[in-house]
Amino acid sequence: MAIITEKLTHIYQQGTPFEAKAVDEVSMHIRQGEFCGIIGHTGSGKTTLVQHFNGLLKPTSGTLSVLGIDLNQKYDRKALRMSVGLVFQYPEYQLFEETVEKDVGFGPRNLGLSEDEVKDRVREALEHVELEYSDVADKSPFELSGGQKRRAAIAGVIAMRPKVLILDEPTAGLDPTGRKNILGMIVSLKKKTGCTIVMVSHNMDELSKLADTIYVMNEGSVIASGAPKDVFANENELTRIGLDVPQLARLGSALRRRGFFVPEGVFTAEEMAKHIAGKLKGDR
Amino acid sequence: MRRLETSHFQLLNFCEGKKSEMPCMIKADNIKYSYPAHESAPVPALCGVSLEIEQGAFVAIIGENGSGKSTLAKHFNALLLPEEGTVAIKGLDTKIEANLWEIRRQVGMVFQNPDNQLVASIVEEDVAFGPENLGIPPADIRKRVDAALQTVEMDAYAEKALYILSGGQKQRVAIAGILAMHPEVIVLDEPTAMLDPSGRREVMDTVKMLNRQEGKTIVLITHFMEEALQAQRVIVMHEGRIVMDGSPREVFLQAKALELVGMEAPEIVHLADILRSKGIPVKPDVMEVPEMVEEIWQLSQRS
Repeated sequence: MAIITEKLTHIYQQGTPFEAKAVDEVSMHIRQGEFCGIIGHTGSGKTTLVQHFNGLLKPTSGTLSVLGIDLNQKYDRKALRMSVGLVFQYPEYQLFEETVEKDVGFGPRNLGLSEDEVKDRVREALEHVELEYSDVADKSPFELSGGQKRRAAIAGVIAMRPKVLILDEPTAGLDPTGRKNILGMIVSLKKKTGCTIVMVSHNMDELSKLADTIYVMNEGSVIASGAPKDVFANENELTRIGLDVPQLARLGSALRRRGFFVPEGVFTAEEMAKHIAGKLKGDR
Repeated sequence: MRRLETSHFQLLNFCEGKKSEMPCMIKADNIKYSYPAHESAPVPALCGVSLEIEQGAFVAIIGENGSGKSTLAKHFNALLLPEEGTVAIKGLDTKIEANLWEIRRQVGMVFQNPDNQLVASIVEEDVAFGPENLGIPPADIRKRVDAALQTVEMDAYAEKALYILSGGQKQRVAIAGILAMHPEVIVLDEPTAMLDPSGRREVMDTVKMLNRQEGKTIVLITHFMEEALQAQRVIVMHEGRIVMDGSPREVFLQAKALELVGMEAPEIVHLADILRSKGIPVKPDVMEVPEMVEEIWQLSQRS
């Protein structure tokens, strides 16, 4: 298991008038190599939850173990942060170095790796995010376009060679091409390195196509979890808590209500077209 | 990365020849603008854009990051001035300094990040900021603030602190702050990019209501095709030029052309295309879920 939580609870400013329970008895089991999606409206506790996974926040109660490290005990923080990479929302705001090379290499250099090793890692990370080393290495990160900046910032985390990569809203604010690039990059990184992905997103269409498992959060609790096909079958409940279902899931359930049977859990246009065409032609 | 020479791209202008009786609100005439760059030649952002937006219109502008959408929008209230060409708001040239106050009162802007555009800590104080600056008498300000908050359905929060609000609520307060200045035009630059699905719905419902019930002219910049579908007119930008201009249907049915400029057709249009390639005769203008359900139902009855 990559991440196991049992009744993980986080209360901000406990014991003060501002006390707020942000995460409420969350139990989850994320397998190694799994692509796990977390959805929920703003303020549902998603970000607070994932900030526990690399030790940025400590549970108020409940247990948490990440890659076999028990975070309730005293543990080696450096070792944890080396293996769990966290990409915040709008990570490009955290770019700060004079050059892309220095920015991406900041983490590995801090680990005390040799200059050669740092160079290798920077090259490798830039390759993963599909930025050409010779094009960008000596540029200021602030000269890059919006989508490139985002990718450079993600490269900074990938350069740590994380075993678990957590991404908080990685496609927010990007255009359709930018979104496609980032998602393609995450999928290929997972394929090449076998790392575990935890992705927080407001975009149901994206997660329905990518995630193995989806956790739905509302008011700090996990209210549903499972394969996308099962989670998105519950259209009314998701709408009630301020979420959406993917368009094709909506189409599928509307068709089934009219007695035109297409299977549940079809989230790509290609697959949906195959089912619809097959049925229309079969009827003839 | 695939690069497309816009000069080879034929402008798909579906609006030509369609004359409207409404007076012209925004008129841009062949405007050019470039951003100064460090140690290199200026970067062109607008390369000759002409358009007219009539009063009461709801126009969506889409295009890749860096295609010039925001630069164009900033010309609409004289935050930027064209290097060549002219922009006029209700006939007022943005280059003439004496027009500035009137133009900025007429054209309100809402940006992506609600936290960057709210200035006070209490909701009603924030909404009052604009009219105060216009020198409106206090009693009138009170009326304007109350009315604006009612319009965006945030009156129950008038005396609340801004930090307790959700993203969607903050954006509605930002919109109220603009409404209190009694503008004719509201320009929204990706107002839902940072919001969750319900926040997105709240803001889009508010925008549509302002257009339909209050008669405001709306310019909405967005990366969400589903939002652009709700406008009356969609303008597609690419490399500083307008490459498509027409109704959502006219624009979104050009799946190939959209792909060339880094946009994508809504998923249902994509599905309809695949179905046609499989020999299913889906009608040409199916774009949304209910229409597709109806169409497939009809086709299944025929077979």
